[in-house]
Amino acid sequence: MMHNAIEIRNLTKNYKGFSLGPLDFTIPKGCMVGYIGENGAGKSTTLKAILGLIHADSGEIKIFGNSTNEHEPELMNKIGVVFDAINLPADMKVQEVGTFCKLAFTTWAENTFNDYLKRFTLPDDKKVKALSRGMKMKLSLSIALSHQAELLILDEATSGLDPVVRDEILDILLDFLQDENHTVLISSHILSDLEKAADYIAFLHNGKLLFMEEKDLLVERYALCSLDDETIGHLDPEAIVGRRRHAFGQDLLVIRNLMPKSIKLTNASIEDIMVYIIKGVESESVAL
Amino acid sequence: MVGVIAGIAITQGAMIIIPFIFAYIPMILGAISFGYESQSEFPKFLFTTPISRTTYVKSKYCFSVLFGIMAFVSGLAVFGMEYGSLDFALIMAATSFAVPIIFVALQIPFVFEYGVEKEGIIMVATYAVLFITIRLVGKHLNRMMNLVQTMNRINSYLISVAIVAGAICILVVSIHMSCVIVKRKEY
Amino acid sequence: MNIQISNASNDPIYVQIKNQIKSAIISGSMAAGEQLPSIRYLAKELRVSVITTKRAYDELEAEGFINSVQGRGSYVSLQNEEFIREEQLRKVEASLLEAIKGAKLAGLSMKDLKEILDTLEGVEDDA
Repeated sequence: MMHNAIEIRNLTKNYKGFSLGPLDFTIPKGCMVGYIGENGAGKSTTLKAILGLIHADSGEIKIFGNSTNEHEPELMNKIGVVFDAINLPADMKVQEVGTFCKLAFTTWAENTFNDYLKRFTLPDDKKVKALSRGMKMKLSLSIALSHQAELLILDEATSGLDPVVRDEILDILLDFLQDENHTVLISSHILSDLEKAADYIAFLHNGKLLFMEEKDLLVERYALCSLDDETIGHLDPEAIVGRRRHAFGQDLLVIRNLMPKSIKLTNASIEDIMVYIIKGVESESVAL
Repeated sequence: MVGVIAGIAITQGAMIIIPFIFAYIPMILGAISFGYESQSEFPKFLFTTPISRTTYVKSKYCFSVLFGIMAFVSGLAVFGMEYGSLDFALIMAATSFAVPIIFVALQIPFVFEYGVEKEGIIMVATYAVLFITIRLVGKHLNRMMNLVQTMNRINSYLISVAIVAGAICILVVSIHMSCVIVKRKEY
Repeated sequence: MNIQISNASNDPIYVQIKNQIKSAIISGSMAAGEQLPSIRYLAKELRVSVITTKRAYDELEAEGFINSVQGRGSYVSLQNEEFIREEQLRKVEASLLEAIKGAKLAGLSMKDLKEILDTLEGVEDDA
């Protein structure tokens, strides 16, 4: 009984001017993993390598315990994918999309698909090009959820969507996770979504994985504070992970238990953690 | 538009055009299908479904095979009726089958490799070849007919089969090459 | 069952959840043997990580308040409410003993101590 949805060992992919890896990480079953990092960090590259859309230069990827080197197209039945663009012909009608998917997926559940269409009010005869960005996303999601997938991979699927739609999608993802065999891997810039419901956060920066941690532990480990230069001088330098200097002092991301009790700390959001760590990593070498 | 051309061909008595129309259509359809895909990056979606890259490649050749068969049948009818010689008709029908198959088979690996934008250049080159071939065949039609009439039936069967087999070989090689290209490709 | 969590609180979320369920059990508003929501359902409704809710339930189970059955869910412990109440009583007695010790060190009389108790109770009521 394998416990991992995805296992990545020593994955590398080189492009001109950018290289990804070596990456090692594991996505356990039954959880939502938020994959974060700045633009160009290599998140999409990682996801495409997992899906077999691009070829890795080295390393091994296992999905549900099976190596993707012996790539079985039937495996795609179990993986639901949502990209940031819908990648369907512009003149295809919603109904025709359903017909195509019925032929493409052996595990296609037509009733489930139609239920989602109704839920999202996507009319059968509307062409893909006539759908708004949010509706295209909902259509993609409907497809991904209608072939009995156990693993959902979303690549920047929510960018450009308004908060109301993103909230709906979050609910749907949480519903999907009610089954403990289901897993969600979501890469996003919109960290407030992950803030709420992610179980793990994997942070990619310049092609390297800085960490993959339980989100709760991150929130417990780090904190923000705003101090003057003098006070900062008295702090354990190991405590400071990243800083923003401004005209009137400094904003710091610190490690909670290396800080004196007297200093007032506020909770750091995932976004704060990401931004300050990058600042810290770029300016000086910092132990996390 | 195809109907117009066919109509003109028939009234002008240049029936020979008809099989070449059957070659023209799959190329257009192929170009359209590639064009649609490149716009929406459809293969990116496609390969997240259980449809394999091999199936995808083969689907691009379907039209040419279909029209090849239609060309064969129509060629047999047209040339048989027009010239009354089964031998000649058989060979021309075989040629009609080969034409769409070979033209498409020649183009598709290039389109996969270089993208549908270059398809324009490829199509123009193919038209040029097509046009020249039609002119040549038209010029030598009578001579060819006489040549064929001197052959006996077995020879004409053999030649037809050779033409068809040759076309199928080229098709298979092309499919194989396209599969190699598409499997290597990144989406 | 009502659970309200606050991001602004100093307590980690799993502690907040744990404490609220605990009070519900101790106060009797959750009956012995009653089924708790699944950790996944709770995580979804509260919009927190499944790991958070699982941690809360794990600690509640370690403290004897609930029992989890693999594949069936979690239930309020059939352990007598008495037992739980006695646990809390023990904790209160221990705290009070500490207070008495501290009072003696500070030179306070028992009367002073009782006054402080009254004042503090007022503060606790306001909280």
